[in-house]
Amino acid sequence: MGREDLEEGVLLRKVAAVVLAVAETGGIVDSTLSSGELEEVPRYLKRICLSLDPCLSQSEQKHIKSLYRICDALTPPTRDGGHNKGRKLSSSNKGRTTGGLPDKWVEGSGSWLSFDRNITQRKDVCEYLLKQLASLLDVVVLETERRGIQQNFLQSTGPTSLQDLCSVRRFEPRIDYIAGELKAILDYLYVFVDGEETPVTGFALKDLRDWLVSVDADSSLNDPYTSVLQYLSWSCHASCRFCLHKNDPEGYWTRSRRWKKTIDEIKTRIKYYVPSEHALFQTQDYSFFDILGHPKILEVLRQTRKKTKRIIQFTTHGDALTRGFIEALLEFKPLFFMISLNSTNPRTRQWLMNNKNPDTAIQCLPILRKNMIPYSVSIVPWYENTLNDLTETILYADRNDAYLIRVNLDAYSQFFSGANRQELQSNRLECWKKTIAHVRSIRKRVQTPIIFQPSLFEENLYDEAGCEAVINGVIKNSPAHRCGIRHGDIIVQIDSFVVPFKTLASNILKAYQLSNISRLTLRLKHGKRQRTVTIEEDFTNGRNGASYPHVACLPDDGNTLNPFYPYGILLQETLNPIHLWDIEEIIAEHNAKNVLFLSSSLMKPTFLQVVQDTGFLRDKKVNFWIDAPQNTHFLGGSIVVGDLLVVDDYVECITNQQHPIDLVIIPSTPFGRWGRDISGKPYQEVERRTGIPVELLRCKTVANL
Amino acid sequence: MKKEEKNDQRDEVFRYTLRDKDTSEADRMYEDKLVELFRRQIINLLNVVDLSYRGTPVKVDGFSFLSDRDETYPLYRKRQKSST
Repeated sequence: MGREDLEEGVLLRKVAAVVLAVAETGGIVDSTLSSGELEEVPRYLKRICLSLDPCLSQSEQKHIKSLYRICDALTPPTRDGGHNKGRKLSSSNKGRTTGGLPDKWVEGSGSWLSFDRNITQRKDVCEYLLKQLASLLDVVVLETERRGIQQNFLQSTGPTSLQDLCSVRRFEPRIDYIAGELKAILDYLYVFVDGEETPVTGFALKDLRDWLVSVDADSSLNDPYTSVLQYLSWSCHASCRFCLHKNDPEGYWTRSRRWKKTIDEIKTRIKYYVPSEHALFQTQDYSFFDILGHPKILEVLRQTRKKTKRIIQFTTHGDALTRGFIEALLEFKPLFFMISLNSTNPRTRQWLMNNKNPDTAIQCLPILRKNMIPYSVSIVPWYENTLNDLTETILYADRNDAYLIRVNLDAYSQFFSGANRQELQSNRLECWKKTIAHVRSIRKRVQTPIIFQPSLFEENLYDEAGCEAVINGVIKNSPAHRCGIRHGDIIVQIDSFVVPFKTLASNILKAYQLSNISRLTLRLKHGKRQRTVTIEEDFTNGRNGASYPHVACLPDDGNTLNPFYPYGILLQETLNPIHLWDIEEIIAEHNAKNVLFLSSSLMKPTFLQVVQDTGFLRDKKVNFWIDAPQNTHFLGGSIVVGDLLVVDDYVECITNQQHPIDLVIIPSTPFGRWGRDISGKPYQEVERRTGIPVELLRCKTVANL
Repeated sequence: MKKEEKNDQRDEVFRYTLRDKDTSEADRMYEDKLVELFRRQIINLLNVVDLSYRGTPVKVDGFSFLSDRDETYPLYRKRQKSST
């Protein structure tokens, strides 16, 4: 920690940033240990030690101690309660009554309800059903296909068709709950209008203000793409041979690609999108289709920009990115494109993607460069592509200053059809190994960082699994690039703060950047050598483009900072060892002796390595097994992504165990905020079907840009 | 969200069907329609909330009617090993 830090008052901001980062990591700052004791602290300990420069003034020490105290309050809540869990009643809910059915809904007004004759003698049940219905009618309006009905609580179905409940099961299961309640009630209670029984076929949400989701509950809703733009996605003009969704059956998660969102819905979503506050709930559209071809894209972008100055990311096959279209997009900067490039050979690209204009995406890279719009490219090395083509594509992206090159290891669902299906699914591992070895051989020839998707596959293959803060790449022209940091360096210290693992290092760098820290010192290790480098960030570079493709503008509204890799240091997330502490707590609460932890096939090697390094549970009398379910029951095929595991995969894995189990622990990431898997099933089903207690380990997705 | 802001643009109506694929018939456990009604409703509820007592989560695997507390109806077919 340098003297200039103290003089400029930067130290306090740095310590505050570290305290926030520690809380984000799930730990608690501890300043009580001396530096000698610090080395004795096992790496996985939840209390993270912080050594400080002894020349702090008394007032600064006082400030810093108060920061330690807030760390406890910021630590994510525990499963048994914790803090900040309850939501206060919104103003729109106040003053509502649920005491009875609406006055108008009685015989004589033209509409009435009739009970199933089997229950008419059970007055208590009839009363219960009426109260239930009255509560539901507080938030929904019933719909019928019968025409010409327009009552307060029942109306004819509107011009837009009814949505399937599968679109809300994962992100807003309370709508699914309402549907279940209505179905159950309407089994016993019939609706009559003007003397004619009128079947209820659906329902509509009464007031969308009831359905806003706070960004505290789901921070992804801050992103304009997640909250608004993704709903422009309803078809894909390409038909890639390697598409993960190829041949998905009707009714699967991609069903909604046939569901064209109305522009009115998108405008409504914009209306309720208030960055840093709330947005309307997400629906399960799995909208990974290109939105740039949508005829209303510019209009929607214009309206979205009135709400936020945040960077907008587009995932695109690039066919729309002509010079004229890129110039039309300039008014919406800051933008970031993730371009599915795949090949720089137009014929190969057309064959691979079945698109009309294969040249456009290839030619758009220098145009984006000229207009200072950063972009990454993705390449799927299709099995018939030559490694030469892969090399040429990587070199072309590097020459045009791509931000990042992502090599996607192709995988196929059980629904993938075609003559080469068996060949593709049987030799995936060998193909992936060959691809990774080839890319590693050309990494040194390019300056653009290259990562694999999924990234852990490379680390597992080359025995690089672990939690150290290994740098996976450095963005060209970034501050880290300028001071000689390179792929494979390991961060051991940031300023005075020892960073024993990657998640903590990543969180500190992000917190530093958000605190506008423009000067920091890193202690780096590479093999046996250690060195210290000082990074200096000029936050005005992002505006004049001097650091392209690295973007680091000072935020105008607190939110336009580059959200990806602070200071240009690419740290791909991996296991956060703090979670071992959380697992110990769960086991202790259950007093369990035979524990099964269900990881994923990609994360399992890292997990085993950390368990071994830390001596986790060594002194406890607990049998601890780690297994990895297979992605069999949903997408299946050669997919090995933990976050795509579903309830059925977990149940199968548990029932196949040959030893006694009295507790199962599962990472929370496949289940989302509401505990629902990708197919919408609640995680509680695992316990119900196996009869063994199941606990979720609260953790974050290990994701790549 | 202020009232006046809500009124300046008509919201799209979010509509949902009650006629999607329903597996509840296949899952039926009890012949008694009323027992089955409450079983389904409780499961439906437990899929979106955790019940708690004095701040501590409580796991539930069955229910009884207040009029007949001696008879307990399991919610699920498989016997539970409740952890609480």
